[in-house]
Amino acid sequence: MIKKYIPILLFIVCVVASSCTQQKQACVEPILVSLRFSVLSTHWDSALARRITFDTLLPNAELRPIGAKDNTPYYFGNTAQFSLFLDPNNDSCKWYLSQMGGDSIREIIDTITFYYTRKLQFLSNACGYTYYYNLTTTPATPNLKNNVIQNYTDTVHKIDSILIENAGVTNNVNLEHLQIYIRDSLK
Amino acid sequence: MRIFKCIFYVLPLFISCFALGQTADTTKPVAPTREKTGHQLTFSIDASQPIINAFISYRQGYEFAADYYLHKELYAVVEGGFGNATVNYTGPVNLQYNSNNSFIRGGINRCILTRQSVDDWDAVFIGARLGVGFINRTAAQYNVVDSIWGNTPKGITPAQNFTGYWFELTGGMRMELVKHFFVGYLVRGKFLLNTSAFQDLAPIYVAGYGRADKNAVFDFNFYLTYAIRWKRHNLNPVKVKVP
Repeated sequence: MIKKYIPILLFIVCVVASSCTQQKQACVEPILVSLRFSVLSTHWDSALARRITFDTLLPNAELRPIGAKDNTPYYFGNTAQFSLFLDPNNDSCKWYLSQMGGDSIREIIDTITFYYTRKLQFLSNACGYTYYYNLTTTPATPNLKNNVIQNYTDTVHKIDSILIENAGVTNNVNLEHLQIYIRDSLK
Repeated sequence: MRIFKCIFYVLPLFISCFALGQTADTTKPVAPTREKTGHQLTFSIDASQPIINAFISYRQGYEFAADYYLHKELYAVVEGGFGNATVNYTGPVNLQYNSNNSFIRGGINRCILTRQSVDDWDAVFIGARLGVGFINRTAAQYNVVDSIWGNTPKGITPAQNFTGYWFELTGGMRMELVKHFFVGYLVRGKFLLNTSAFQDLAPIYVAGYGRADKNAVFDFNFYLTYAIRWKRHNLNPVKVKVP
């Protein structure tokens, strides 16, 4: 009597076998973690008698790695939010930030050197290993009290200061790590 | 995709339970007493493993099982097996190592299907298991592939021995196709108990458990079973007075 359920068994075997046909597990998460930051400006509002901070859209912004194997620039359009990749081979790396000026000539914002420590991190068998980073902090700067990148190189001096919101750069895509404040004169 | 897989794994169990349960209700059989039901010891091989081994090139696994009928539709179960895995990923992910392991599981099965006669050994099971696996992983070579800054130099994670413990909830069925020979399947939900042991480069496949980098996994077995039976001794024979 129970033998009439043989087709059910065969069906199960077929379904399970077909669901298991794979040669390699697929990696479904980003392997390289990215550092995310936003660009802001501050100015003193005499009417309110306090400093006001606001997002600053950089027109046709460009981020270009300096000294990288592949120096292809990354274009972001008009945005105040950016992301970039840190160098897993060294404890620092440089990125060049620019925007399109009013006369269609690219205008340098700054060259930023990021300093950090690296930590090897196992993601999964499908994705292998990656590096997590911890941005270096410094006690104080003239403009902001705490959590400012120690040795960023401000060659063009359009960046006023850089605030580290979250020093740990991991595969958590919901965190913003830095806030870059540019000078009023850029506006 | 995983949700669909889970549905495919579990749905047939409910279909089977429903169908078999209906049959039992309509015939209204009377459950035989313990004394009338004999002993049964079964030996099973998981016939699905060689098929899966053929489909998935990075792993090999073999599983066996034995169960003994205790009483009141309760079975004691012992399962074991062995396997190995080879990871040789190159490209966007660069990782190479081998692993092998053996395992043993113990637990119980309870048949939820009412017998139609003392010779009816068809069964729909629910059960639980405790498993332990002894795993060896070779040293692993890796590097991080980065197209912008350049790949990192090759690194090595030292070889490691693991002992994994897990708990399982099981459900399934088996039917006697010809006398003493059964076919059946078992669906398993497995829950790793010592997750901290597998934090750094857990093996991609552990025979008896599955993916060691997952804390909970679903699995199944398709068993071919042979049963040995013998009569139960009557412990309380009735004395008959001869006039």
